[in-house]
Amino acid sequence: MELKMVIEALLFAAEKPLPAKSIQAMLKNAGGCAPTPETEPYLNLEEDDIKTAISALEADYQARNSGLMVQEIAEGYQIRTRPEAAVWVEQLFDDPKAVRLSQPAIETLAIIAYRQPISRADIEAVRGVAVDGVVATLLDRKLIRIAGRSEQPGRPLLYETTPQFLEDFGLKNLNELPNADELRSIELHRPAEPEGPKEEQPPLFNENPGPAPEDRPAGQPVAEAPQPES
Amino acid sequence: MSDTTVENSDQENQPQQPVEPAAAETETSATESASSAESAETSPDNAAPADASTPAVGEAETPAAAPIPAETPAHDAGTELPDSAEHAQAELRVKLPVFEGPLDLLLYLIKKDELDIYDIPIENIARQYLDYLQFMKLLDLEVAGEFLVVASTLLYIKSRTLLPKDLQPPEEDAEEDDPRWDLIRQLVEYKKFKDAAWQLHLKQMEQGKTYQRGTDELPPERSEERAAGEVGIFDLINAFQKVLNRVNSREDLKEIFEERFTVSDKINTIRQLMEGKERIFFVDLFVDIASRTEIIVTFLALLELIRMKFLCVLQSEPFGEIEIGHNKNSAPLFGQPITITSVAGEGDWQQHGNEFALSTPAASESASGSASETAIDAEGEAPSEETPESEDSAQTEETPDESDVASESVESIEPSDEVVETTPSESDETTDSGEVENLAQTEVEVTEPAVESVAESPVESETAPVLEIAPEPEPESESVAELAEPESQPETADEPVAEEKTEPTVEPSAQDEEAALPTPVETEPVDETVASEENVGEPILSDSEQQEPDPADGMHGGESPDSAPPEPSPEEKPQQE
Repeated sequence: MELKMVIEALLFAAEKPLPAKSIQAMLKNAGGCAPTPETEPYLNLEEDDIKTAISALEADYQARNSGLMVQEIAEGYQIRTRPEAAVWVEQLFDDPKAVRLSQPAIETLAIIAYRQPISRADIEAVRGVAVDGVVATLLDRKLIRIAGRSEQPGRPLLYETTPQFLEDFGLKNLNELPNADELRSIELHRPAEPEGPKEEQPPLFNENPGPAPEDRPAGQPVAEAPQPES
Repeated sequence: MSDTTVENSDQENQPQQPVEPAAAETETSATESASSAESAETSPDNAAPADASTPAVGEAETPAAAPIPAETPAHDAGTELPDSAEHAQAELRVKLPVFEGPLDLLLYLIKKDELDIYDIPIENIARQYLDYLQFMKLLDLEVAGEFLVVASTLLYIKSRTLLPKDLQPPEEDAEEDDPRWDLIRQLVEYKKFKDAAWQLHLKQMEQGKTYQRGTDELPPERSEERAAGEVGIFDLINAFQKVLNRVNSREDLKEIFEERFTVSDKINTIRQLMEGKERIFFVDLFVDIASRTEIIVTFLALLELIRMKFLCVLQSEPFGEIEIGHNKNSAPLFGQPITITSVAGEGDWQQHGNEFALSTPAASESASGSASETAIDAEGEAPSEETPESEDSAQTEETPDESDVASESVESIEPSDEVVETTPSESDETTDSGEVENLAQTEVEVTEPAVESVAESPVESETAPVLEIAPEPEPESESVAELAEPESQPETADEPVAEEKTEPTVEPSAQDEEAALPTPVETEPVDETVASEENVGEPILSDSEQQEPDPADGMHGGESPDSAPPEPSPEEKPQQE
């Protein structure tokens, strides 16, 4: 059996996006016993081999105009229907519009996504509005989860996004968030806080730790603000 | 009306920016009218500039809006203002954008006037902002506190800018001379996230068009099942605590006995209990358990079985009884009874007595039987289902003796007897009670082996004793017989399997006889020691004995254990160990 066929089977049967690492492990443990001529060739593959095979699989799909595609999503790979088929496929599922998030919810989610882990107070500092209900909604939808507690006074809960968030928004990982580099390094405005150790946050993804461009308001060209609508 | 219009205007899903120009126009017109009204009412001073500024803006953007303020010259009275507002809405069918917060509103105002976010004309913005708040009041909207905070900030900034530079109080931790900076920074920050949110929204829409294989609906079903049926570790611990608390109230013995319970033993016991049953209640595991240690060991055994996926715990409803069921995946493993072949030599059986007892099918039967019996009644109501097999197979002759012994011993030793043999021993006791005394040592000895054989499940025996002992008050004279029985009990407990019974019974009987022959007194002490050795369950027995019988019995009991060790101890100890 060709490697990409094996992977296709795995991706199809899996309920969640499969990371290349998982695929690698499953190839290695095939059958859980002594290798057979069938499984032998795949015992010690590199992740790159797997990724190559996945690319080949996706190319196959495209070559034959399949209604399916392999999408890299949420740190893994998943076989999904093509967006062009949405008109028909959506009838299989309950009202997809119910899944949409309200504006407050999506704003809050964005703040969490870029600044995770983050406490509710910090979210509110950015939005200027209380976000209790919104956070509860997001927790309910399993788009965010509690990441622990902050060391700040009161040890408030911290929130972070879930793999489900990446899945719903079609993101490979958090680095794929739009404008991630900039928004992740913004120094959050914390009103009530005197002089705490601010935001040593961007631990994972801060690729340009330099001061955010917004630091200098006066010097900035006005035209900056990107218009989301367009 | 106002409320409804506001609700209608809710633009939940739509980010702010896409607001239609019409909406913007109407908004401005509304603010204008409101502003005019407000100026008339509150601040005549500001009125002029405010009017001047706002109309200018409105005109610039939306010529259509101009007529409206003209229509409603609200300068007259406050009462007219609402009318004007409604009027405006009615005529224009205004769609008033609802803002998520003060920053949202500020951003909107800035964008509407195409202002430089880094160089906000604070007077203008403050005016419009306040107008909007005023308008919200007109619409009976509840103005959230956050709006007022920003309003006060705007006014503060404005008032500062009114002062000559050299008179302005130095601002604390202000990085800039510009008092607007804090607000601006916040606005910029918010705007960035707002834009990012819009991007995310687009992404989500896009992603919403692709579907994964139709597993979406499966997870909820599963989760529901779990919510209804699955029991977390904390539920188990709670239930466990309840059982412990129940025992704590009756455990008042102070003597320390050798630990005889092992998790593997208890695993066998649980398996026996589960045999042939779909489910049992969690509480049933502990019905006849007397000691804290045993409860703990049993609980550990349960956890182990769950860990090994032989069992699963279920709860049909919140706070309902916790049930234990077979894990379907591994049911076969669990269901297979372990049979142990009889051991020819005494030594073997003594050494491995515990294990055998637990593992043997006979033991399981006895255990289940005894369990059920104990659950129903401590006393040996249970017919002779178990006993007949084990005893008969072992020694038909012995059974009567045993019964006698049991009856005699019942008081003192019953725990052990009951546990294993409860039904037979009790029945025998009832019938043969008179004889029991006569049987004396020799018979007692004989019975012992039988008892041993019967008492396949040490746990049960231990547990059972507590219940039964208490209820049955037997004469002191029997104490001797009882003493003899205790010996037998320990053996029984140690010796599990029916198969073993025959051999063990004979051998033990001989041994017992020897031991017994010397003197009843000796036998008694031996028994007690044995009992004590046996386990926690015994301590309870001894307690019960001491407590219930009162002085005399208690004395015997107390004495016997101390003095007794000589004969029985050698035999039994090896077994236990």
